[in-house]
Amino acid sequence: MKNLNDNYYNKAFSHIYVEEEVYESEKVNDIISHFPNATIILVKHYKDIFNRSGQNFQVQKRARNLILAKKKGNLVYAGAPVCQSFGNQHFYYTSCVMNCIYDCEYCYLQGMYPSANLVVFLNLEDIFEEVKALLKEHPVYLCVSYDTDLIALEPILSYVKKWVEFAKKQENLTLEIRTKCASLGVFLKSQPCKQVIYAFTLSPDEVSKAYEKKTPSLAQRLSCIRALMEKGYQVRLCFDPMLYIPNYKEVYQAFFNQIKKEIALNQVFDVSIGVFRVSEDYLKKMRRQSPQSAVLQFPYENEQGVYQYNKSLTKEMISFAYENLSDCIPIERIFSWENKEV
Amino acid sequence: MSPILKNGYNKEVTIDIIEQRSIAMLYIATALYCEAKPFIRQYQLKKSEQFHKFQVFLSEDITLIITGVGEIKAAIAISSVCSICKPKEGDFFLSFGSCAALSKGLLIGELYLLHQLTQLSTKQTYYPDVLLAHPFQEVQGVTGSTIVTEEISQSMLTMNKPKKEACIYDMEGAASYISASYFFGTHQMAFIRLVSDYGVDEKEDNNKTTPNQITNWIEEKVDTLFSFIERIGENKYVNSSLEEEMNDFIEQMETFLHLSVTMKHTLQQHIRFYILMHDSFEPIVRWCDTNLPSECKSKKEGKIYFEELKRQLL
Repeated sequence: MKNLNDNYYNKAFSHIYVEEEVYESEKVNDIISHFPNATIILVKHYKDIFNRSGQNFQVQKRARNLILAKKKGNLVYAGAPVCQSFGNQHFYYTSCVMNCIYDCEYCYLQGMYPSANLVVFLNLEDIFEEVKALLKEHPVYLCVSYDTDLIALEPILSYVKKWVEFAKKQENLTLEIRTKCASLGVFLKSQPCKQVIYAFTLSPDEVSKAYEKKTPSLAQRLSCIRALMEKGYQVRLCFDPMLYIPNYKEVYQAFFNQIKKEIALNQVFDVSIGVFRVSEDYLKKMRRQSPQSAVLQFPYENEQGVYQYNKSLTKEMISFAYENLSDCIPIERIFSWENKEV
Repeated sequence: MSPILKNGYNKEVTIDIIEQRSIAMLYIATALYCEAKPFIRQYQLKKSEQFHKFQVFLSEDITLIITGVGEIKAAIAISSVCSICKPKEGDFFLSFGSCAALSKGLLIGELYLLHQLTQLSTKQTYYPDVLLAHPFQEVQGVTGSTIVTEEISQSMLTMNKPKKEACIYDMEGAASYISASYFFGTHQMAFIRLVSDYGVDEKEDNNKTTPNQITNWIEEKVDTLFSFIERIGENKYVNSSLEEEMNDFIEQMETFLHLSVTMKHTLQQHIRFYILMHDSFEPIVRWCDTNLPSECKSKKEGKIYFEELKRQLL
């Protein structure tokens, strides 16, 4: 019999659920080898564990588990209207991993998924084939790290490396890899590639410390971005979501000043700005499970099924960001979801 | 569980805490009295007279149900009690009992935590969350409606492919999960079993387990078992009197300002946010006392004050 652990909850990935169909694959062994003490449980289908009724995302994320599965059906999706296309006509996204190891209080995944456990789909090659089929029809702009943070999982999965190698062979493919990770060594595992954009989400330290638990600090992210830009990696900066916090102008003013001081903004690929927004259904669920979250309990206004700040506040915040950034970066390289909607 | 005799327990108690409780409740379900006895003793549970078809023992924060043997009895008893007690977020359900080990590696008298429960009749498998740190070895559970047979034991061997996993057999586990899942989330349940025999082998040995033996084995493990139970109890909820005050205030405003249902919900959300930011809404009550008139004559006038109140709350 084991000793009682001092911690109340199990450690992350203490249990790994594996679909029977993929259990004997090499990929499963590789991933499991990172967690020698994990309990391995076989399941027929990942939804048997991921889609159970009665799960609580907030409680589960205190002891996230891992699910290894094979993705079936449609593997690449058209970009969602609430997401920024950055002017790309053929905008798609794919989820080779569902859920994220970070714990951002405002994250829409809490409303989108029934479970906080991470699902890793092992058949990356099948997704590549579907992308190739799309590329026969037109160029493709593909976001591969929307519903997760692939860079943060790179030490376990090496999926970013595989995506970059795949992109290099596909002339008309542009990849966006969104992240809050700041481990330079992980990025350096893949060579710089013109078709790959590393999109860093940045927030003031006040926001990051309060609402982006387990993520690297702003200083760490900026240091990583600087190093990557020096080495020729393409970097996108995402000031999205901006949050309306007390003294937001002071806080964000100092934040933009710091960014401008530490990053050569005229050399970044582009930037995006946006305020917090989330679909009605997701927010209802998020509020129910996080009654103590000021970010989620803010009285947002419902605009056609999307909860967001009222129009004048949204406009004020976006204008504020524009004013701060437009003197350092051409406005055609500043993208805003809100402006797209106007 | 293994086929053993039931004991009686006739202690009369008068405690009734079912409806009016303000602290988190641990619900424990066992099939037999001998499995429940160490809990009753440790937590000084008193027998409830509100339930006549099965025995229920209570304390301020524990409700123990002796369901009887088998899937249907377990489901009925758990559903009945939970329909009356109405478990809340923060409550926890523990299914505890004896079982047969289908894997020879499992030890008689040892406790195991089930991370999956398969109902033999439907082949459906259920997975409670295993989020809390615990000291038990984890195994899979299989629930059947009869005592374990050679046929069942063999079918388990094929079910376990492609990975061999330690397995126990009981007569309540999966049904308890199904029934409890109507009242508890996947994170609010745990299933612990004590191995009392090896099923089919036991008949050959002619060496049946007695109720006293089961109680004694549990007593030997009480330190581990009860320290786990006390950990579950750490996760208690607290009733917020602020929430009640807020609801009273909103009801007053609804009448006073002639609010529609949508406006009432909007005000509720604004106040909830204000409380999170300021830990109190006393300043808002004071603002209302100072700035609102003694009477608001129309919906139109109410809307003007409603908009001003919203601005104060942001």
